[in-house]
Amino acid sequence: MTDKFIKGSNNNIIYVTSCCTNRCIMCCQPPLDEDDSTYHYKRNINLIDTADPETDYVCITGGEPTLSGDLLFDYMHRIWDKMPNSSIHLLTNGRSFANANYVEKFTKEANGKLFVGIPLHSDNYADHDVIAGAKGSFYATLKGLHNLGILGFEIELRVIILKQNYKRLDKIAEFITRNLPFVAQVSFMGLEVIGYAEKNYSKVWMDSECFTINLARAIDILDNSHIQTRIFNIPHCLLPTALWPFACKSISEWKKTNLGICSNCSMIDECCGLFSTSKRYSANLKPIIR
Amino acid sequence: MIQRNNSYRLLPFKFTHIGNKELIVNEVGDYLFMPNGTVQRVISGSVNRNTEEYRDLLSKFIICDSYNDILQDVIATRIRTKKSFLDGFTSLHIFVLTLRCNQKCVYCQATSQNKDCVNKDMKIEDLNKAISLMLKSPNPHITMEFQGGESSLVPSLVEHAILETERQNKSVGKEIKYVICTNIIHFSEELLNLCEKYNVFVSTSLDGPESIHDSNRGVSGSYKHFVDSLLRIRERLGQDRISPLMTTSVLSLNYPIEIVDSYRQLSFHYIFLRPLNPYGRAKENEDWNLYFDKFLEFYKKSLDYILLLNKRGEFFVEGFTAMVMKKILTPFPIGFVDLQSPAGIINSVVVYNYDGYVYCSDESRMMAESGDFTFRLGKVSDKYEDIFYGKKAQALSRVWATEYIAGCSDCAFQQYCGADPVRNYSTQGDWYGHRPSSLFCKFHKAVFEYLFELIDRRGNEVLPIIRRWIYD
Repeated sequence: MTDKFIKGSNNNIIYVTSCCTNRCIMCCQPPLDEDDSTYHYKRNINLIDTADPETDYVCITGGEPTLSGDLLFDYMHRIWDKMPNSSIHLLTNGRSFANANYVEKFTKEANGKLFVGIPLHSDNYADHDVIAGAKGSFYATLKGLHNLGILGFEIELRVIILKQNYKRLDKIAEFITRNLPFVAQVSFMGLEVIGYAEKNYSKVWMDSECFTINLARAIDILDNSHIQTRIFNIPHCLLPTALWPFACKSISEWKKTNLGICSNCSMIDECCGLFSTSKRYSANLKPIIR
Repeated sequence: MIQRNNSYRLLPFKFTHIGNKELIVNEVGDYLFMPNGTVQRVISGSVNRNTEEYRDLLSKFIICDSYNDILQDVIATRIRTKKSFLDGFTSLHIFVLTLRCNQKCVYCQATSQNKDCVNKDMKIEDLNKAISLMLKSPNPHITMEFQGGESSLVPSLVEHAILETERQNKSVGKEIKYVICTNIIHFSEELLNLCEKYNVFVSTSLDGPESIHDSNRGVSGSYKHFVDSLLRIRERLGQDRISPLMTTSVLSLNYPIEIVDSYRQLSFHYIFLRPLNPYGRAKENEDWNLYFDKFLEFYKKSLDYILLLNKRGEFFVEGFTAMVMKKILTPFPIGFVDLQSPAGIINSVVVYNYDGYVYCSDESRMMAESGDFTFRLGKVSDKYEDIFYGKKAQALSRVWATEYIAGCSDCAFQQYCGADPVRNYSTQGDWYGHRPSSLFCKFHKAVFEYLFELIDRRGNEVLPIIRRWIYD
């Protein structure tokens, strides 16, 4: 993680707490049961105080940041005070927003540029709850999304592609167009093989060759429905060329790497690269020679 | 009570057979195509939890594992969205400024009169009162549409209507869109100026290539005038400010490809394949059963051709398909008054006729021409409440929704279709209607079945194209 927030970086991160209400089977930052938000507080405040006032992006994450109560709002206000042009990307599982009182309070406090990123693991509760490792999480997230949507918050849905959901990517996309058409963006994400994803590797990992057809269908549905769609963390060589326009350079510089075979790839500058933190990579990586 | 070994619960759904499959549709229009026998297994509780089928049923809200509050909230939001076309009440206000016309269309639904005929223009006092009624609508967004007859024969009435609306609206503040429906045969500079100044949208009609168009108009040289005016209007107002409707005469039925091509030749990227309506002059001349069978074939051929054009990279929309598919593929309602429940009449559209009376719909005032005043809601001088919430409106409301009329309430296509008491009355003699013998029902069912077959057989190929149409 960075020591100083700067303009133009996608690596300006406030890590609020390790607590979480979900236990996602591929979590790359496994949660803790005890509250460590005060432990992180000093470092976070220091990051904000020393930030470049021109900073345009700050990500607030965890764990589940909404579990830290007023601390989250304290961070948000400090960020917007210190960096008025900054857009906050809040990563949350969305469950807290199922609570009407919380949404009301949040709406009062969240008075700056904000983009809320929420994972949706499936189009049905059975798969979602298994992936999230928490009963009731699908409906709570769905309700949270509706509550945020009705108030006009900008929402990013994040679909992490796994063995448990890769067959249904097109159905997830259709579910989104029918039930969550108000979201601003859907991001399909490749897995960072660390934390629980490493521990559960054989249970969760799915190589891209098995899902690209379904991914293309899903993106087609969303894109034609005027919902902005992006692919994160999947290198170009694993995607059909039709999907390249959707692929982002998503991996932060500090944890981005390439393999030796990538050196003569003609798409290396466009590619998201690989997680240096990942313990395993796809067997299908290959340079694109043009 | 059926004992279910898997203990999942049913949500409300309807189903039908299409080919050798079952189409299951839930209460908010989500659908599933499943092998025959699925419904039986679903209701007997024998769907296995470890299957994709079980997940599909959950995802489409056909079954659930518990009736929880959040699921209810989500479905409630879906219903609210589907019915949001009701939010503002009447949005489309049609003004029949004159019944006179300069064409003699073979299918005329409006019983138009010779252009020199007298007493067929709207009186200024009536027009002013109608405008006041229109501005009493609770809807903040109003479309004011000038119809006929041929509205371009009364340019001064059109101008008065717009100026008077602008004047009265100063204290009301609604957003008003003006539309002039005209054959553009004689579209004067004066009208062009008016359209330019008040952003008036020109809605016209084009029935196909010159031979078909002129034959349908019953006047030779129509097509040439049409093209001349079209170019003038486009140059002055912009390419997108004029759009035609196509009406399929008996002659047209034989030329599905040529008609689509005639639109392309004139640089249109949109066609709306519209069948004849059994009203006015059109009512007399047809074996309607045969006509609709043939229209369906015409529609399929045209649509197939249009889909092929799109596959080749040309963006060209078939409007009727886009409307129906929007209902099938998205959570949103459509602005097409023919396929709404509750019906489009009064809820979405109302007509102020040249005779000084208010009617429920275009078809209603057309019936009045043959002496049937069943759907007259009142005089323009009556109180708004007495017209829009009066006895007649109340009586109509008891038969205007597919959710509760026999033959619709249990139909798998209910979510996509609409109720039409006016059509029921004109074709079957009563408001309620009899679905098993209704042509409206037969025709729309056939269209839905065809489109669902298309989704099933060629979904991966055609749905991306149709989605682009819907969200265009």
